[in-house]
Amino acid sequence: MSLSPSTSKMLSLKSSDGKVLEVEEHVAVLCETIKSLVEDGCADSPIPLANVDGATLGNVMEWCKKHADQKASADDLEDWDAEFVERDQGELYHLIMAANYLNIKGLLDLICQKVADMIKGKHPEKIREIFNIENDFTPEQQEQIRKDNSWAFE
Amino acid sequence: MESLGGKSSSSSISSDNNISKQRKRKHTSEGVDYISNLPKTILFYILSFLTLKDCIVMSSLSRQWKDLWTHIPQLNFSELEFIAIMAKRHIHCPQSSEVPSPHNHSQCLQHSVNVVRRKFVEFVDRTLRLHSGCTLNNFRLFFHSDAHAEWTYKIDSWVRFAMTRNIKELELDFSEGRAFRPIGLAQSYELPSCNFAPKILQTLILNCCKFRTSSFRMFASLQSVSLIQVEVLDCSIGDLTSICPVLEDLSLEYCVLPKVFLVCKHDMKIKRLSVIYCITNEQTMVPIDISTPELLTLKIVGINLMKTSVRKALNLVDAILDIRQQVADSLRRNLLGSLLTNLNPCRALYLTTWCIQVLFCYHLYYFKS
Repeated sequence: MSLSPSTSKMLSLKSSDGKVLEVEEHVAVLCETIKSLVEDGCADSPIPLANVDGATLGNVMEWCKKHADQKASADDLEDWDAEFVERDQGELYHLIMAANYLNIKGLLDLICQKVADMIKGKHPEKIREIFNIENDFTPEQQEQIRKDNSWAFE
Repeated sequence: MESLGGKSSSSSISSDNNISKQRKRKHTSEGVDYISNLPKTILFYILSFLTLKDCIVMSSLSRQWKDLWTHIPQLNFSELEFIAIMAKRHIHCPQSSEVPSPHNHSQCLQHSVNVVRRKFVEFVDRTLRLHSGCTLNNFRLFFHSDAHAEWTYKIDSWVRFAMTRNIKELELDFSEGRAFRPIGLAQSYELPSCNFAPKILQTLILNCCKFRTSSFRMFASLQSVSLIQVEVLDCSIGDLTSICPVLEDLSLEYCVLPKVFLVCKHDMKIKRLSVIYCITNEQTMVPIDISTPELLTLKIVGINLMKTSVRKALNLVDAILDIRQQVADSLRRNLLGSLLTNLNPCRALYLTTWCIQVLFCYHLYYFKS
């Protein structure tokens, strides 16, 4: 059964902090987790999403709405996505966790690609600084790692 | 005590300054290490978007990150990429004080390439030794085999790794990016003969090496085989499909094949077949005589048409024939004519100029008689 916008009914989604969001079914089913609930007839209203807070759920549904829009061209979506991922790391973190929990491969790929782009081609010191990663190696361990993989640290 | 207190307060001010500086930056993490808090499966997934080089850089961040890279689901070793990165550091002549002459320069370059190649070999060895052995979606190795005599035992051990681990897609490329040199295959690397039976391998791509079909026991899941500039040393397509029971795609480009490689009486399950500029040791094209009831697409490109028969191809959708030759005698006409009769069921047929010319003569010939 294909779910087109004209036949789509509304679903209520309840976030971990108790906020309820009304979303069109054809948008919400971009989340595989919700889709299988709908298909199995288990989509009780409102659907509780214990691992997603209200703000993140809003962001996720904004992405789903854009990507459910059949009028959007590939170029249009690409530009829109590029803007969508311009967020601070806290928001990106919650989006990754939500995309994983709700099983939205497109969104998970988008954010993971974004994180990978923040890493690509950078020196370890720079990456630690960007992501606030604490260096807990001893200087000796550090030197050994550098020696073993010297080619990667150019 | 006071002086100590003073010191600690001044250091806390400076760290506050650092935090406020970080806050101004885009994608700031507000002092929180979010990325290290992600579940491991997601970290592996993020690493899968990075090159091996970047993954190794990540391993030096902290203890938590140290061994994560050994679980990445793909390994991509490219000697050319490695040389490009290392060359900057290692190009130095032993006698750098001398005025560089062109002769010295080329010697110097060769010296650097050798140094870097040795480092690349060490790097591949070390990575394979440390890798966790988890299932790999793909394993790619690009290594120039000119100096193969020296490195054969190493390449053998890498191929052994690839054939005995759980790998879905395997690409071994010994061409150094050079294309179209079937003539030089005599010197190329031959895959080791060890009765390999990779269980989950689905896609195999070989470039510029020698392949002995009888060296392999079984490819239970192999669906797609692409041989480019490969010299196939024995057996036939029938033997190949019997050790690859689910093979659907077979692409042969610029290969040197045994004379009867593409001759098989039995029905085969192949769905897509490309034979592009393949030769035998004596002929510029390979005779084809196969029976393929499930064939969907067929592409034959070559010089001087040989006897070509594709039987039972009742489900054929696309057929492409690109044959180049000077003569269009009655022999060629008949060869092409009977092939086209075979291809009758196909929905789209692409013919190049020579075929159309011959076809025209063929039509006239039958029309007259």
